[in-house]
Amino acid sequence: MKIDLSRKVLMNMYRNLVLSRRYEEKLIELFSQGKISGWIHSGLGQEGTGVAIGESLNKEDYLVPYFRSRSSLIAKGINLNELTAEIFGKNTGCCKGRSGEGHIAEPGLGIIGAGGVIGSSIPIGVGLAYAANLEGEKRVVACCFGDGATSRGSFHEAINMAAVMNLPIVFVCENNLYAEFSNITIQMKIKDIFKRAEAYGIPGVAVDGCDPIAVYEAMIEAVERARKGKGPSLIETKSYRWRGHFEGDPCEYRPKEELDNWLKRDSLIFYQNSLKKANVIDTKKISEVEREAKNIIEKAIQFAFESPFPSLEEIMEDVYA
Amino acid sequence: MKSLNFRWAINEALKEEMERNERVFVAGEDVGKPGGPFALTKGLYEKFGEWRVKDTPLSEEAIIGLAVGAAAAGYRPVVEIMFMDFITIAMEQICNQAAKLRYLYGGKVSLPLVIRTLFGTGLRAGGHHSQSLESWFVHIPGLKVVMPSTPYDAKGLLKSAIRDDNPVIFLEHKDLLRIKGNVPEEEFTIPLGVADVKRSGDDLTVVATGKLVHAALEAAEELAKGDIDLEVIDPRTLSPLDKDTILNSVKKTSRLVIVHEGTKPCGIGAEISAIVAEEALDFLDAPVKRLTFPFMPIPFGPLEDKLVPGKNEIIEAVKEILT
Amino acid sequence: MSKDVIMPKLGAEMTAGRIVEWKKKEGEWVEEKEVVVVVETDKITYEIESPGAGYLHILISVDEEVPVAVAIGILCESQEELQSLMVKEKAEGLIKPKTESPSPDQLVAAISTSSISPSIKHSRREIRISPLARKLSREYDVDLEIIQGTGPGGRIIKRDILRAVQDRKVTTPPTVQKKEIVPPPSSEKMIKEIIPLRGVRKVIADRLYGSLQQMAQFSDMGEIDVTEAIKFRQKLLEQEGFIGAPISLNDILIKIVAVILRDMPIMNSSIHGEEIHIWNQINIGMAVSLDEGLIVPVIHEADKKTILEIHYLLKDLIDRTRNHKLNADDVSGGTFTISNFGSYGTMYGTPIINPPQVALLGIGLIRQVAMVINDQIVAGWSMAYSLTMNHQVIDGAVGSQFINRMRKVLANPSLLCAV
Repeated sequence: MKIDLSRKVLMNMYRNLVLSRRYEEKLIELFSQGKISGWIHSGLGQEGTGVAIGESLNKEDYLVPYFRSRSSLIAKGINLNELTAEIFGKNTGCCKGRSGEGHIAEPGLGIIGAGGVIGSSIPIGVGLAYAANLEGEKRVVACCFGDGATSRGSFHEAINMAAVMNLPIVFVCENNLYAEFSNITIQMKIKDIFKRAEAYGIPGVAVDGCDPIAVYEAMIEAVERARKGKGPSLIETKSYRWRGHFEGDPCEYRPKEELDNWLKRDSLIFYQNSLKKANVIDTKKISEVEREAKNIIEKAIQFAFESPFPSLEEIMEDVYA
Repeated sequence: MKSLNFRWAINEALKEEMERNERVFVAGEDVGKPGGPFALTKGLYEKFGEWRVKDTPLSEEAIIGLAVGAAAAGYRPVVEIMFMDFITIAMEQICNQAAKLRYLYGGKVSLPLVIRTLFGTGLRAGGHHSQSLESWFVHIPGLKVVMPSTPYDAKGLLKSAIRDDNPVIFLEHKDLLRIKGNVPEEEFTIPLGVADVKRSGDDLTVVATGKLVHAALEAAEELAKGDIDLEVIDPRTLSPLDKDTILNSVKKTSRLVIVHEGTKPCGIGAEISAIVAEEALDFLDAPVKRLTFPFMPIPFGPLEDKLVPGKNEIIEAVKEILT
Repeated sequence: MSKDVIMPKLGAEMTAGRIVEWKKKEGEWVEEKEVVVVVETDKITYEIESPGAGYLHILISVDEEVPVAVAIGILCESQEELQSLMVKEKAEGLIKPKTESPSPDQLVAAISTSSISPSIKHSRREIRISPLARKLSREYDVDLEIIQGTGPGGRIIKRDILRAVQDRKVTTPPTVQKKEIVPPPSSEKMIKEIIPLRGVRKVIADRLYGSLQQMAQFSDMGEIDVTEAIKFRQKLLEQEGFIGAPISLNDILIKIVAVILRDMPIMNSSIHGEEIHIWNQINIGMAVSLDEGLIVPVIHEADKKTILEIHYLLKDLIDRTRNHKLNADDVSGGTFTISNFGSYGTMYGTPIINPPQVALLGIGLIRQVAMVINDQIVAGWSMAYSLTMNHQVIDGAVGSQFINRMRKVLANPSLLCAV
């Protein structure tokens, strides 16, 4: 299969990666200043996977996002103003301030299914794929989650159902070696989650989560497979989260050397270098992209700060259709 | 009017709604080719094909998740949970996802799904195949809960449930499947949230659900010989509850007996009693009485019959109140 | 076969009765016509004779109130029957525990902490009542104290309230809307004893309170020379053998008052709304003081009776009053009341009229005094009187006229032969 690695794709991913990185950094800064209520689950260090996922999907395709992957939302085209307002709990947020950071959705972009219960989004993704099948418009679903979710019964029921029904869905598991405070060795006996695919009769593959190109290539193959009606796949991306499970988590359960090793494999720096080498970007371009990102972020935060919280009447609406 | 069996009333409702709207589809265990474990979906697979009448693996959680996702994508799934006892496996998807995602997503999606399930005693099949868990779902905002007692109610309410844009738990009493009743030939629906006064009377109000509506009507007939005139109310929809019909009845008769399967604590009888105490206390001439299954698991076999409240228990309760 | 002892209907107006005392114990043998229980209605207490013989099983305890015709006890033919009855009742949980009076501390605590309507506050036991009945009792102003509930466990239910309202329509007099004056709460330390207001006492309390609310009462007090009357009575006493009985001054007074009322009908009337009703009979009530309160047996058509007849009637009434053997007719129909408190040494009083009458004559102390007659000081007999009248109907002049006529007849008792 020929992979489309056009300049457009490479640049899209680069811009989104820079934007995602700076956004994560900004959120951490704001949180530490006490300006965000609720919590933040930082995706710092894992942004490379998300930008590739988003880039591999069409606008009409569905994304069931991994809660830590704001980069996948950005790459899918979410409005950063509305995303930020939602994180701040304001009524101009994409969920009218009701969801906060944990249940981001934008049905207009096909972003559906995230919620506060890890693993429950996976069967919902299967439902989206079922609908896509009925519809016959060749939409696919990228159903994303972390390694912890694969211990849920819902993961196994869903992937089995999708497999036996041959649904147009790509399961993407970002394995960052930790589920909350537990190392993966407590979660499962196996070391490679992608091998679970065989148990369900679907293809599975592992890629370097810090390499957007690698992820993109794997995604494109899986997406095309699904779109052609050849059924689901499971992609495992190997990566690491640089921060704790949530902001404020001191991460005492992780050895420091482990983090240091992974920090050396910074997806942004690596990708930036690859693009520089391939003459896709230069220093000037880098500055331009950084500046752009900074602007977008500043506008989004300004928008969020200035937006009002929902009123008591507003917060009580929409329980029933 | 035609005489129709409860089972066929369900079947017809499904068929008509699937004809009316191509976005309606059915899924569940054994619903497709086998025609359903209780033959409720018989003939649909042949008529509408594999993808609109889908046989699923034994995965209650994923079945409901599938309904949620498909509903979010604009379809109208009608999924079946074979026995209500198994619905517990899917509580996460029903109560956290189906009930709440519309609200959490700022009203940007609606989830027009129906979960049909067989509940209640009658098969004498024991504690994992006979429960009545309706009050669990009445407690969750975002869900609607419907429980018909006649073929007429079953057909009309199922059609409305499918057309409703909210997640609806549609409860089919397994002991009612064979009963017959009159059903209009022409197209009709019954609105959700409206109770039915199955029998008018002045002396005492009986609110009954599911198959116990019929026990209440039998009790009423027998008591009428002794000049006691019961009013029998079938709520039909448990959430949202038509409390006005119940309150008006209690204000008229000043006495209330509630009879339901399921246990007493936090049952639908507890909810109705509380509403009456809150809003019609001055009209009560006697304490409210609830008749329910005892607080215990349901045993296997014919002993079940002795434990489910029936006509005789209702008559005894009424006589006790009226002396 | 067992026989029921029922709460009898002791007067046309009676709807319920209270058990005052069981004269026989649980399980004791009772002969037919033996006095088995003492009951009380709102006017009288009455000893009830057993309708048959048997071993007594008590159904209703002391202080409990039941409607007329309800079984209060059962007479069992045999011990076995008695035993089986008790076993059966115990199984059905029907045996009513003897209601224990709460201690004064408990009552005070209950009264000071409760904040609901006074009628329930005063109850000695908790009133069981359905919410509907409670609402109706407020609407119809029914006193829950006097209602016996016929619902399960003695609960007062709607039909009990409606029955009480219906019964109230049949009886007279109209009860006045009593404005509840709540006295300031007394501290626990000040109360020595709490006696609940019940039965006859309560009826008297309500009636007399109502009397003062309804009428503009005033009293005319003074003294009447009864020297001649006393001499007259003495003569009659000396002729007791011929007459047949010892005539008392009370007998004479009743006759005199009755005769005067014939000519002064306004004093023998009652006021109803915008009307004064003059009665066609003269029925004199004579107040008799008992422990439980003042009872007023009535001598009907006293003006048409001889003094001797009045004597016999009065004696019989007083006897039966003291022995709790009055019937309803003995205490009803009175048109004028006399209250003789002089025998206690009291000179004057402000007696309260017995509604719906318009006057009450209080007879005070009769004593020897020094009188000035024709400028001479002589010994004579003087009777103090207090005549209370309803000023809405009777003016002072009319009252004076009444007293003057009394003076005249008492000074000339032989006038009684002519009128």
